Amino acid sequence: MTLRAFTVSTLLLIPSLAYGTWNLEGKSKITFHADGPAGFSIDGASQEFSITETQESLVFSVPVSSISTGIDLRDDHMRTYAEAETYPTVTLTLPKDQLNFPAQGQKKSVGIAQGTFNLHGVDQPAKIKYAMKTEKAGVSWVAGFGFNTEAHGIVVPDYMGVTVDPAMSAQAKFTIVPAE
Amino acid sequence: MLKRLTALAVMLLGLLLTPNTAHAYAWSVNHGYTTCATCHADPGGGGLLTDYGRAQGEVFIRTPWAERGADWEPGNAAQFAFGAVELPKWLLTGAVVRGGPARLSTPDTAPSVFPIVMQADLRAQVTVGRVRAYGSLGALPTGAAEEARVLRNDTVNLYSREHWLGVDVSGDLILRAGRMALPFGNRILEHSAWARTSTRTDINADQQHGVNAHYGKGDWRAEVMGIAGNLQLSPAGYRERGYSGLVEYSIGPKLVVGASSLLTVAELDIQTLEPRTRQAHGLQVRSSPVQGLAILGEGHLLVDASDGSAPNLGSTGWVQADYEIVQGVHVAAAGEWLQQDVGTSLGGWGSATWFFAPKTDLRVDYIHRQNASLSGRTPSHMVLGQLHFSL
Repeated sequence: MTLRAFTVSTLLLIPSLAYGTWNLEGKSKITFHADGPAGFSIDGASQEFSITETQESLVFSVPVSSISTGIDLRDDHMRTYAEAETYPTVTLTLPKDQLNFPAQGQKKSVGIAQGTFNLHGVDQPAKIKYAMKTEKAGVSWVAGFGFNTEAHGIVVPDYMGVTVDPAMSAQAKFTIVPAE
Repeated sequence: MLKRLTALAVMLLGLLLTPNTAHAYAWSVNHGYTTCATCHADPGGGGLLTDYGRAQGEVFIRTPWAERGADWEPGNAAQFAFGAVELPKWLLTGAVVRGGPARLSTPDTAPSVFPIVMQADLRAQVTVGRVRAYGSLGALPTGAAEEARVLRNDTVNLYSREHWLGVDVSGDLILRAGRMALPFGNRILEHSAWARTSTRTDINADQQHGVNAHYGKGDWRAEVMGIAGNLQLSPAGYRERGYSGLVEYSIGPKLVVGASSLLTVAELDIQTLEPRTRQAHGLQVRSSPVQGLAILGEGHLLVDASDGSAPNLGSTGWVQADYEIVQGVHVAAAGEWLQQDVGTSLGGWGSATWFFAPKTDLRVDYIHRQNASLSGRTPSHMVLGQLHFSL
């Protein structure tokens, strides 16, 4: 383990010392997947997300306007259903004490964290499955969770008779490094 | 007389070589569409469009001529008859015409230019609750779409490519009975590709009667059909019985892999005029590795047994790269092969399509083939232009 990676793990294991010290590095990507009828599916992605930190939690934020499904009109509809002008940001809050970072001498760790997903201005509990890997300059993450848009107060989208299952999933891949 | 027969033969060859009979844009995988059921009344793709499919024709298929604002919607351009007639929710309908000039040359015939009308079809689907009734009816010059013919005279064939009754058992499962396209391989426009003709699974006129179950949920799609034969063929001995089916899995939004299988038995094959068992088994893929590019590929093992003879093994395949230069403008290159007992035929296609107006596109194809025969390979060249318009 490099000195920097060791520092990463140590900082994350001591939440009170890790406050406000993280940056995203390299390519980050967050995706969501929704199913429709007869095998129809929609996949959206954003590379514009940010991480902030409080004493107890890591907070991941994605601007709704940055999420693209590959078709502009569908993106417009998505923003309308999500009322993006009123609720411009989607956030996921992860308490640090729920996170199992790679211990000293370990390359990887996996775990399940109980977090809070805020979509359409509505908080809902979320169970996040994640895997972390110690990198030269930080920790890379792959994390995913399921959510239900109806539980967040979003009506079931219906366009020309084609609806979308409100049970959706999200996944994120990113690397965080300690701030210089 | 000989001249007329030669002209007729050239025209028939032209009809066999000509691509495109229906909407079936498998390259839509480039836009994240790995399945067909949301855009087409036939859940396997091709033919009559749903309201959603009509809208997508405007959204991502045709060239937009102006900046589309945040509140842009497809509007009347996506409606039947451009919105002149408001249809009830229970009715889907459409009309389509496709045709253009073709130029064909082979070593045995002088280059000839002739017009081809490939489609002049009306289609409709009526939905009552969970039950759907679908039908198409068209008229073309005698000689075209013979397998789908219901009436004919000396000049005109009246034909029905598809007619079926279906029940939406759930949002994921539809059961159908009637005449429909066989589930096999990629449902591509190029109905004269060897991957389609050698397996008899094109969407021009190879539809058969039978019962069909289509299932799609999440990343999986499966379709199987029990084939009762093409009841528009007589006598009944010509009709093939058997099954055809496929299963596909989406690995992400822009990659689909699948497998297909087909087996048919006929007392009297319409080509060989002998008892015949045909089998085809293979794999297919649709992918979009980079934005704008769609790769469609399939390869199949062919097993062909006529009465009293050992089975002949062969193979066929098709690989096509379609690149969307700007929205609505596609160029494509394809290669194909057909390995049979007489040898291996090879073919190459170059195509350009422009969806330049609502429900309208212009397409040009160049098809070069080296057709295997006992005396070696015989080249053929075809250039085809076609204008396609639907309502």
